[in-house]
Amino acid sequence: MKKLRFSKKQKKQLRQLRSWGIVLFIFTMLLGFVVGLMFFVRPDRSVSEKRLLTEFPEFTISSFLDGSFFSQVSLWFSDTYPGRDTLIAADQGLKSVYGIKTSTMMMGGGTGDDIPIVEEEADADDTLTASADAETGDGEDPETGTEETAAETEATPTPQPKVEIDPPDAEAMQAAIQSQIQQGLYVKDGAAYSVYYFNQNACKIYTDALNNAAQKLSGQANVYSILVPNQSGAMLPEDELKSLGGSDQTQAIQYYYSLLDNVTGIKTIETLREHNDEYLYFRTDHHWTQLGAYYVYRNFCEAKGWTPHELEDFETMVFTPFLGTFYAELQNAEMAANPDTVTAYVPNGTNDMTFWDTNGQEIKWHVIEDVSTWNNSSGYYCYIGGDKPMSIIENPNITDGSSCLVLKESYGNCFVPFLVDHYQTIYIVDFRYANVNVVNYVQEKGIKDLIVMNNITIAAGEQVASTIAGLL
Amino acid sequence: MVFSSLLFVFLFLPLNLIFYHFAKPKNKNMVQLVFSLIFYSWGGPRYLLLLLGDTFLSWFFALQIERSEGSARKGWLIGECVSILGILGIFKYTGFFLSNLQALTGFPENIPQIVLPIGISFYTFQLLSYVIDVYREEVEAQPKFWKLLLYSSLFHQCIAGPIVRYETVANEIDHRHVTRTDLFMGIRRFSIGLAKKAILANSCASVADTLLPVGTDGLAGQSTLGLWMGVLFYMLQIYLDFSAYSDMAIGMGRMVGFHYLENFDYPYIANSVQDFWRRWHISLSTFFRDYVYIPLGGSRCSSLKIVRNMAVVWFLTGMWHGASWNYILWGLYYLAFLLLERFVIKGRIPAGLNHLYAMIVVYFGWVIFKFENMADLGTVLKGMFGFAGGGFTSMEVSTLFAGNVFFLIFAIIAVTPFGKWLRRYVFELGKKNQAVFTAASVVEAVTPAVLLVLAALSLIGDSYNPFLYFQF
Repeated sequence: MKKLRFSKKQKKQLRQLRSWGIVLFIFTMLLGFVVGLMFFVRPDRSVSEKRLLTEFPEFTISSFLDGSFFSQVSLWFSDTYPGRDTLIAADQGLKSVYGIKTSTMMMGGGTGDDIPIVEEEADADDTLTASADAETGDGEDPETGTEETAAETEATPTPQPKVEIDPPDAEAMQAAIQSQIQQGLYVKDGAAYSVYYFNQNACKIYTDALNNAAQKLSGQANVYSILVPNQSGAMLPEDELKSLGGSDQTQAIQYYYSLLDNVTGIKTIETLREHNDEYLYFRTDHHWTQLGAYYVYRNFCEAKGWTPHELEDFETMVFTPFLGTFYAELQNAEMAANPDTVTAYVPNGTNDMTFWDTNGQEIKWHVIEDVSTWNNSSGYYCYIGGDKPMSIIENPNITDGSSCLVLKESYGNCFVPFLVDHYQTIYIVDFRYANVNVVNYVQEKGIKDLIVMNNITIAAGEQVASTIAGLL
Repeated sequence: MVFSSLLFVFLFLPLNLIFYHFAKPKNKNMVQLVFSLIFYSWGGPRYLLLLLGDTFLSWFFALQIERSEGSARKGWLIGECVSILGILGIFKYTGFFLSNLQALTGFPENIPQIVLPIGISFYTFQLLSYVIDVYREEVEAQPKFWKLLLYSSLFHQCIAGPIVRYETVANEIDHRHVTRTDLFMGIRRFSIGLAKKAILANSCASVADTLLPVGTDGLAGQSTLGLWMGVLFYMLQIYLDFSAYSDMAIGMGRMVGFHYLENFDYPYIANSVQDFWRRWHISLSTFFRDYVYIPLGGSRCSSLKIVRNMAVVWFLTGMWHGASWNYILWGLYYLAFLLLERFVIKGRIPAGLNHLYAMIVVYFGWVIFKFENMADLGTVLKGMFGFAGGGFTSMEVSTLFAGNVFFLIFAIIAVTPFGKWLRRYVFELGKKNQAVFTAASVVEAVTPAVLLVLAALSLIGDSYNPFLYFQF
């Protein structure tokens, strides 16, 4: 290419402007340099991503030699750069010009295993229970077995619940759960829906674990399984749901329940679908609303032979606006324009509870906590203090010695408050953070009902299913 | 360390430039050397020994060649080739060789896992070219070890190219000066490269990775259109990524007075496969041309020998890219088309169509290049031609397309010389119209700083970063 030739005057101007260009660039780079050095304003957690940021690594000879020390330093430097959340938001603003955000979208996606069909209730029960029996009999996971015996010998009777915490594992599982939920995400008109993919192996691990627990607790405690569908299964019209290509959640829950032996499966998806013109799931978050949990609570009461409370019986607290995990992930403008509202029903018996945090420290809290002053992504934290390894709620109005243990992840958080008025003591264990042998604990405390509650997508992860199996 | 990390942009590079700027002229090379060794050690200091060892051997052999006469010279040259190619072979190809041997004979039982030292393919070739050039008396041997080490380890190009010949920089190691134009051009080139990598290549990568998931299962579930689109984004990514690295290297070299040769010349406007290889990774093609092809007789020999010479070159080219059959296949695939062009087509494809033909060949070349696992490659090719597990298209694909449509258009324009033409056109106008000239020069002056800010925004919180060419 021929060189451009400019007049003398133009050349001079070009030189001057280039000098300014150099100064501007060096200034920008030095600004980034100085801000990067301001270690005292580096954030340690990300509000928008709801996670702790990378910590500065500890120096060891081996991590130095294999390069992992330096790669962690690099990660730490960018992960905790001052003003990170604001800068990321700015970047996401820029990226929004990449294309057209249609109001109907699908992010990611996978394939589920085929769900074996449960044909006729009675028939299926017979055959499947028989085969499940056979499997629990001779196919018992040897590892789970040894873990249990080890845990049994370890368990020492202490006045306070003994909770051992293993944070790195919990973090890894949290990440697995997160990716599971966001594996196939369907977005329509400012609401997101997780698509569900059935996993045969996880299903077997999960149901075997429950059957195993029921067998060991036979005659001492009842075991209940509550599998909650996610928003796509409960809320979307049939044909639309089919077009997304995931597994059928009604079939899947039926199949899970059909494999259970001496465990009572509580009806969920059928009831939720009957009411799906109501506000049962958040649009901007992966959880259900407490109204959704209420309908399942009614089914639970039916199974227990209780009269359920009516919603009018409760005092309510309302937190709005609420922009949850889906919003954090998608930054969808339609969601921002139409945020969620969290309605919480305060139990009548008591609103007091105690939980033990990941450091094992005891903290007094509220079943429904006022989170109105928290930021707008925190609405769902109002229920039982969010996800705590172990919590206890004592209802002073009941003195019959009744008790239950709820083994759950965050889907259980808004369900538990409805149980408060029916039990004297409720023990709550979040399987992701607790390391306690639940079966032993139930026996030790003379707990009458063990309720295992999971969102079906979360239960479909083999890691989750194995963790639950490890605790039971 | 990678160029496209905040740590590099806002800590390493500013510190390097500050020290370099304030160092006395005689110390400037030492500053560069110290920074380069730190840069290299970032990925694990133990590999530094290899870099030092290779450089020492080459330094020693080159001096011996210069001091010797007759056949002894050749002996020293062979010594160099055997030793440093041997080291490359051990670290890069042992696993590949043994796993093939194992597949054929069942021996050995265990294959040692050898980690590929960063940049070894690049610095081995640089040192090799240096010693051969000394042997050919094209350059003088470098008497000082540390200066040769500066050449082989210089962080601008040590770990991902371009493969800088010693003759290109021999003079500039000791005699270089930086004009204001050099500094501005260097800054501009660097910021263009950084933005190209951080914004364009990383965004392409995120789409390509979504559409072409790791593992045969994921690929089998993808739709036909999804696969085609995934490969298109991959094709854009690999050029933008690799050429960005060269841009940054050339830019940083220019900032301190080194003039490295161009490594890419808009390969995606090529109108034949041969033309493509004149424009793609030029430093590698010229290496093979000068040190393999021409010594074998080049194209001034019988047709049969030409075929043999080309076969050797393309087998080696494929092999250089990675220790896996798909890379060798990829090299031979190009060999087939180059032979076709030389002996059958002979430039007879009409203009316009020839560009289309070349791009189709390159496009499928990237399919072979992308999948190291032959089962994955088979699945993808089958899927692309209508036998995809995910049907013809899916909502995920249309969502990704709509969400990136403007970005895609921009990225396609970015791989052509359009920007260059536009700049020239505007400045041509500016010769006659002062207002246009002023506007254009102001835009040019602020561009580097703006690109730096945009790239930094992209890098913050961007977990996807490692350069593709690291593994080579």
